[in-house]
Amino acid sequence: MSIGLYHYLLLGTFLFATGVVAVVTRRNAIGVLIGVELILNAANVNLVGFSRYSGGLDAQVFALFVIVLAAAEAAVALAIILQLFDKRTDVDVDRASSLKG
Amino acid sequence: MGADVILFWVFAAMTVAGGLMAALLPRVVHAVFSLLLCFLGVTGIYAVAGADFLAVTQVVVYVGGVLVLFAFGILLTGRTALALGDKEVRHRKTGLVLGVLLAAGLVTAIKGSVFKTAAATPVEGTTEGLGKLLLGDYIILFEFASVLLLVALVGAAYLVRRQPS
Repeated sequence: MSIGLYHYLLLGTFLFATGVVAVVTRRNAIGVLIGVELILNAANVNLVGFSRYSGGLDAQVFALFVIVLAAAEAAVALAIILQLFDKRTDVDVDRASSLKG
Repeated sequence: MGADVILFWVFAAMTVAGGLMAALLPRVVHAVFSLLLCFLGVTGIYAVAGADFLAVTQVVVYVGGVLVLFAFGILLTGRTALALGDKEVRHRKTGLVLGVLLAAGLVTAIKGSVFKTAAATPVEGTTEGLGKLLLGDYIILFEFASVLLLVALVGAAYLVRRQPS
């Protein structure tokens, strides 16, 4: 049995679904961030699969930009989480609802 | 069955196990370490697919950067884990149903579509090709990405400064 594009896409689908589950179910803000990273990795697995089975490197350039975005996003999100912690002494996303009407 | 097929399945198993544990383990510290397993699996997948530069970047940026950031975040907000205790996860059943439905829908869509694929190219170094693309066709995007990184990191440093009270 040989490996084809479908195997990469199925792996990406699985990672995406686990990421969504983590984002939806976790209460700790850092847990939500973990879910977002899983989703971005799912996109990258798909891109690498397409790159392998299309013969071009362009998809890998996109994957590199996704990694850059993920790093920037993690830094800003951590900064926001630390500010939230400073104000509320926890990072429970269920209780961070100051703007709620 | 060639070595690359076996390696693909080994790394796919690592990725799947790490991803599942990162999503489902109740404690966020355990989730971060599962995420390490998952990222290393993804790195292996990149290597098997011949994306050597991406594999190295994945290790340097994710394992060396993002995961360490997460570890620091957990350290600095440690009281949250204590306060939440075993209640760190909520709506688990709804979330699982949502995830399974989402995965099923996507798999159906993938199975139902036809992709124009070329034969897998023989594995060779990608660093030179990526460099030429980044500084050639994608130079504008490359410059935008560096500006974005600068803005994001300066913004993060500004956000975490001590507020004058």
